[in-house]
Amino acid sequence: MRMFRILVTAAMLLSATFAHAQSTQRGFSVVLLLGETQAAASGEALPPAPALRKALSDVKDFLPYKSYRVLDTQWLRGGSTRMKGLDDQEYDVDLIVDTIPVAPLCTRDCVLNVVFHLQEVGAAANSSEEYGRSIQVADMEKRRAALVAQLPSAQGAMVQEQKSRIEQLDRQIRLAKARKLIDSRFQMALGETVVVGTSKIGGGDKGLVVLLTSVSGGK
Amino acid sequence: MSGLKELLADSDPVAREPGMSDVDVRAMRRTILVEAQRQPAATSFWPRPLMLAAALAACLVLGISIGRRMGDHVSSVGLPPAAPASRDVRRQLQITSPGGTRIIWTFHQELDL
Repeated sequence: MRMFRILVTAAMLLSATFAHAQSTQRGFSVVLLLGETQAAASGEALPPAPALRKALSDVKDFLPYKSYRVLDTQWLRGGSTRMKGLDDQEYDVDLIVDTIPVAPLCTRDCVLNVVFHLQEVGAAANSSEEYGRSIQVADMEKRRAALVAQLPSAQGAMVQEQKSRIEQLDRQIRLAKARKLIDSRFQMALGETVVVGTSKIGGGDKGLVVLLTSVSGGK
Repeated sequence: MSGLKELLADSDPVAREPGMSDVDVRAMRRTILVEAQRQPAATSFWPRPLMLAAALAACLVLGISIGRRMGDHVSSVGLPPAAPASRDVRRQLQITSPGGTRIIWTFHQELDL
């Protein structure tokens, strides 16, 4: 019985140490970039960290963008955060991480299970809500088109009023169109940088690029 | 009753048999000793609780590890499932650059940035 107590205590200590090691020994640098095909290349806005520059340099040939701009940078240990995008657009970022328990108490060469979500703020929670919103968007777009068509014939104060109504509809449409952009699950090693991104099929002229770097010995 | 008992005892052939010879006795003893040596030693009292405790401790560690993993997954389950938009189609691609950097790219049919 005494031996049993000792073993149980040892197991609990081992588990607590493992959890403590997991929580204190890693963090994630999340750098949100905008890749563009049109703008001239500009190295000034790129993140200064050599590892990030190397990662970006590695993937440049695979991506159609000529220039990259840093939109936001954050440090995460996991959980959620909000990142700034282009033109006041904001993104909710969720990072769920656990260490693969092949080597408990690992401090180096650990493999991490990562679930990375990035979505526009206000994105629909499920597909039925998305469907409902798509109907609303179609309706709002019709109203917007009608207002735009009436704009040349408007006079005086009506012009400004119609313009403000169009702007308001634009904001509503944008919010209703908010969607989940990235839902990726992957494994990564401590110290590794993984490039996670999204764009329109065919590339589009812009793409969101996230440089996700796991760092041991978190702040 | 006693008469029957006496009758049975009187007619018991074993009572009239001679005893075993010394040779037979030794042979029997030798057989018993050899068989006794062949049997594994009786397990002592203490290893069983120790093995049980070790098994329980192993189960506990395993349970805690699984629980931690499940806990994180539960939090991911708590998030809304990633369902494709009714008008959007998503495709995901994973590639590794020659420099070793991995790219995980999601393509949307409709995406305006």
